[in-house]
Parts: sequence; structure tokens; C-alpha cells
Amino acid sequence: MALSTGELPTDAPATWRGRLLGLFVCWQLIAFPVGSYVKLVPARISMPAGEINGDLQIQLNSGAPASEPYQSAVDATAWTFARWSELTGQSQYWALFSSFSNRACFPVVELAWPDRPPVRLSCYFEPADPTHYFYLPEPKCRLFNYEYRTVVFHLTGPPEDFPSPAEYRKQCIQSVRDRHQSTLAYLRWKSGRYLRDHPDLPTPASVTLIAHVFPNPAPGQSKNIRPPAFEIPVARWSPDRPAEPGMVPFEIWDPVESRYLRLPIGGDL
Amino acid sequence: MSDRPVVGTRPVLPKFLREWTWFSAPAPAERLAALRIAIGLVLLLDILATYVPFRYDYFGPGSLSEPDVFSSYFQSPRWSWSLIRWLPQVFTPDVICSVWAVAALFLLAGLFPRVAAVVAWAIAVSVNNSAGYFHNTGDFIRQQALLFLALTPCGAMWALTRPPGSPRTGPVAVYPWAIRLMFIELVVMYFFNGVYKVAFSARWRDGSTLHHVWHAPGWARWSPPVDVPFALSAGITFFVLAWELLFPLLVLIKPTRVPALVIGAAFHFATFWNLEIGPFGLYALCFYVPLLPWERLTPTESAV
Repeated sequence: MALSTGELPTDAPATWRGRLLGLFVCWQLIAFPVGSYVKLVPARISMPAGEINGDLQIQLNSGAPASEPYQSAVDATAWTFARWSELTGQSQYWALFSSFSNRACFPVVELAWPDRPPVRLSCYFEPADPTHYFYLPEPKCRLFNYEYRTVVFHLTGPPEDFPSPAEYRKQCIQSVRDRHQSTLAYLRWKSGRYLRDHPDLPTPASVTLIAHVFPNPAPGQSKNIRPPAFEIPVARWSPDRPAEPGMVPFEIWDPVESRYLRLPIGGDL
Repeated sequence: MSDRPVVGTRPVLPKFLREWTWFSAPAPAERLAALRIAIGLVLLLDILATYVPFRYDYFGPGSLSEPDVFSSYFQSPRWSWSLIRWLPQVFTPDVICSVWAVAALFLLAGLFPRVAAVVAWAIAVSVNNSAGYFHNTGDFIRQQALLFLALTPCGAMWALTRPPGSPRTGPVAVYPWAIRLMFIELVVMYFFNGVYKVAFSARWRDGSTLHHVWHAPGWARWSPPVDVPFALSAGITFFVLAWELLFPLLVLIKPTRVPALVIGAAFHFATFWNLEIGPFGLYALCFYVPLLPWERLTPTESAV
């Protein structure tokens, strides 16, 4: 496997295109390592909001001491490489599987009516038996990326990983609230597909998103000795209820007080 | 090899880069052509298999990305952009998939490949930004490869249309900056993956991560057929971590270079089959394609 082809002629004249290209090449050579490294350095750039959950940039806490002009240089560097990555689509998010949890989690959508039994719609990727299953790479793989993100908090955040129940509650609710647009789109899409296939059914009174959590066997234990799976409600949407301006369009489950909350889209929790 | 004409724009580089033969000396154009063909093929399969059948679920009214689910991607200070967001009436699900598939096909065949790469890159970035949750990090390297192809004479060989000014037949060479940058990106990618794992993950540090990956339905496409001893899964966890962190060093040292690359390729092949990460493994393998001596497939001038 040769990595170099040896000496070959390099006698082409320099042109303005060549100068621009050289600038681009040099910039890329800097952007790869520095764009990755600067994410590990605390910076004062605005936190991603809303549905974005992929930025790894470490934030400098407000009120934390900052040494100038070093901190301004870090902020400017982080800002510059973030914008470059957005403009060219070359994000440097190299933290693959670094936050892998000790559990799996799938969304379940439950449609409920006042006058008939509820219907539960499982995730396509949830196996009937988590100890024995097999499937090949298949075309719906991209849907998995969307579906796991609807319950991502319960995938990555078991309560014992948090310093206190209050912090667990706050982050759980915040995670669902931040994703209110994708959560609503998912509930609409999932229930809409089912109702399209069952035109005799009326609009459900509520559509509930539930996290179905499958804790992994402890390291060293047999694959057949899995802790029991369990469920945590996430959000409850009432399709017939008109959306209120400034409010999350569904109720969010409070996992500590075990009740649904109706919350504004922004503001402190 | 040394009498091959060089095709394409020579980047004007600082002296230390000009004198770095590996980075600057022209390389056989077959390597760039192989990259173009690999990316075109994987992209075409990706579009036809994972987008086309579900295009109305992923894009357009009533889909999982509308109305404006991912608007935060476009809010200040972000510079993210999307043709789909700018021209929603034009870029319907059918148009997105058909234009994108034609661009991938042109790239594969080498028919106006730079234009095809620009179109494929623009739609890839647009799709990633307008429907963010359907994508993962593998799609970023897809965009990166397409951007680099758009800036190179990637149709200089094995193409239906060669770049203007290049010989119509016969072997040529190209300035290798794109395939070298992609290799450097591989090095950065593996190294920082290792850094993040060591810095932020107790499960990587205690060796339990691969046990959890293999036992997590959804992420793992099959349950372990037998009980895997923890010593084995922990050993492989530490091996992956060490390989990622040492990759820059391993490829610098000649005797360890090829084994390190073979491990990397095997890792992407294995994760493509075992993990629910879509075509990430295939796009990552494309980054390895230019490292192979494709020029050996071209008959030498004396043979011709």
C-alpha cells in the first residue's frame, strides 16, 4: 500500500486559482485539528438551543474567571471554526460512542380514546426478544437516528448519573422541552400513519410518547439475565386541543413528581 | 510514472508544504478517480435505499421535518444553510431525491463530475440541515468528500468527460492535496474520538463500553450469539481506545502503517454490519480508497 508516488514534476505556474486553492488547503490543514481541539477548551459562545443536540463545544460557565486576552482568542477561534463547519458542512464532531450508556431505549406511542382500548405503536427497531434477535443493514436505518432522539434523555441519563433528583428532573424536562418541535412532529407522524391505515377510527383524545427502557446485563453477566425493561412517560399530546402561543404544544412528564406539566417554550424551570 | 502530465490547479503552498513530497508531489489520477467512483457509488446506493422509499416521511409537508422542525439550525449565530429551506416549492421530496441521485450517477460515471460533486454536496448539506435528526457523523464525512471532489480534477481518469485542458487519453497525474487532506482528517477523527472517550466516558475507562454496545438492542443489529467473557469485551474496548489514540503515531511509523490502516478498515466494515449507524462505515471506507495503488490497473506506456 503506497502512500506516496515519489518525485513527480511540480512546474505548473502559480495562478490566482492556485493561490485561492492554496489558501483553502492551508485553512483545512488548520481547521481539522484546531476545530476539533477547540471544542475541548471552555469558550463563551452561545449554547445551541432547540432541536440541536450535537455540538460538543465546552462552555465557560457564566461568572467563571476568564483570563484576557486568552479567553477572547479562544472564543474567536471556537466561533470561527464553528461557522466554517456550518458553511461547508464539515462539522468536527469526533466523539463517536463516547457517551454510550448502559441501556437501550425505544419510543412507544400510545393512542387513547375515551370509549375504546388504547393502541400502542412500538418502534420499528425494538426487538420482540432483546436476548435473541438479528437483522441485516436495512433501508430504515435513518429513521433510527430520529426515533432514538425522541427519548434520548432516557437513553443517556439514568437517574443515578445525576447529582440530585432535582437536577435529574430539571434536565429531563428541559430535554423534552428543547425537542418540542421534533417530538410533536413524531407524534403527529406516528399517529397519522396509524389513522390513515385505520380510517374507521376517530381522532384519539391523547397521543402519549413513552420511553421503553431496556437496561443491559451488568458486565460479566450472562446475556440472558437482563434486568427487566420498564417504561417512563415522556409527553402527552391532545390532538384536538388548540395550540397556545408561547406554550409547549403538549404536556411534559415530570419524572420526580410523577405528573404531567404544561410549560412555556422558554424560561427557567 | 514521472512523465505523466499533471492535470488541475496547482495549489500555491508555503515552502514547508511544497517540500513535503507526500503532500505536494503529484499522484496518479487513478487514486482520485477511485475516490470519486467510491463516493458516487455509496452515495447512489444511500439515496436509492435510505432516502427514496421514505422521502415523504423525511421531507415536505406532513413529514418528520416539517413544519420547520429544525429551524434552530438556521438561527443566529449559526451559518447553516439549506436549498430546501430557501426554495421549498422547488425542492420537493421528489426533486431532492431525483436531482441528488442523478448527481451521484454522474459522479460515478465521471460525467461532468465536478459539477455533479457541487450539486451532490449542496443537496447533502441541505438535507442534513433541513432534516438533521435523520443523520449522523458519517454524513459529515460524506459532505467533506463531496466538497473536496468538487475542487479537484476528479474526472481526470476513468471518466466519461475529462477536465478541460487535460489529455483525452492516457494516464495523468493530479495534485494530491485532497486525498492527503482526507487522510489527515482520518487521523484527526480517530485521535479525537480517543481523546473524548478517555476524557468524558467512565465506561470507556473501565472497559465496559463494548459490552454495553453489544448488548444494546437498537444500536446492535444482533444480540451476542454466546456470552462474551467480560475480559474479552474489556480487552477489545481498550484495544479500540489505544488504536484511536495511537493512530497518528502508528501511521507515521512505516512498519505499523499498513496494520493500523487494515485495523481501521476492518473496524468500519464490522461496525457497518453490527451497528445501526447507517452507511457511516461505507463512507468512512471511501476515505481509505485513495490509499490503494489503483494506478497498477492502468497499462504502462510501454505496454500500450
